[in-house]
Amino acid sequence: MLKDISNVHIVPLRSAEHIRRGFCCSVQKIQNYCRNNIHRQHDAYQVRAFVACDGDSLDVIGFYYLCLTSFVIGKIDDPSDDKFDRVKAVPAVYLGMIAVHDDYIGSGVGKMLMAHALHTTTEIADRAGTYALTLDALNEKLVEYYKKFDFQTFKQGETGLEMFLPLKSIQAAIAASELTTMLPEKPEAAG
Amino acid sequence: MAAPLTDEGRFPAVQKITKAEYDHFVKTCAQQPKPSQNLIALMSAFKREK
Repeated sequence: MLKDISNVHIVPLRSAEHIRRGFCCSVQKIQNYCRNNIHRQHDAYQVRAFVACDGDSLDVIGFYYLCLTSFVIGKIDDPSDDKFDRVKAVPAVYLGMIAVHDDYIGSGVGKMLMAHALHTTTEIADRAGTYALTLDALNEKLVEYYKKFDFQTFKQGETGLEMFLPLKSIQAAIAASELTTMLPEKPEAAG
Repeated sequence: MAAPLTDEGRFPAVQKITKAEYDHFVKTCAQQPKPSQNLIALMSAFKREK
């Protein structure tokens, strides 16, 4: 039976309070990261992590983290990188991981986390500028999943798992969602 | 290249891409998109209070 998520909320990680040791995820590295390492990088402002909790519980049932990245033309350790006009970096936000506790799979917490990450990306854009939200999908199945939400693959990405969602797409979707709310209800048929 | 997933997380400060990828990325991000119904529905379902 799917969990009721009506009381689930997402907040910035509070390392000393949120309970991460019970976080279970089928991807071992993501589980290990949440349990053992996320707090150090969050507290050092290397990344910013957000966690989902259910009601008054401090148990983490889902999380994501963001960090800043930039894209430049070139190969790793390309000696020509330092030449004038060679590097044109464009800023982006990187969604490092997004995951849901096994007990909450299919409940909607993942979508809630993704929507929260998109809102946070627009806030970062408003304050510091960014072109897009980017991520590396774990596998082809997830590539197809993210495509449903307008993520695109880099045309020639080496693995085909590198994806991005333009900031303007996020802003347009938020604007459209707000417009939907503001539309007057259809008048009832007369007679 | 996709950043490898590890227990230590991943945070690629700088990502190198080809000129074709760069041009595609910058051009796409500059366009005024029409968001899909899926994306609009996602943002409608989980609005953030202002």
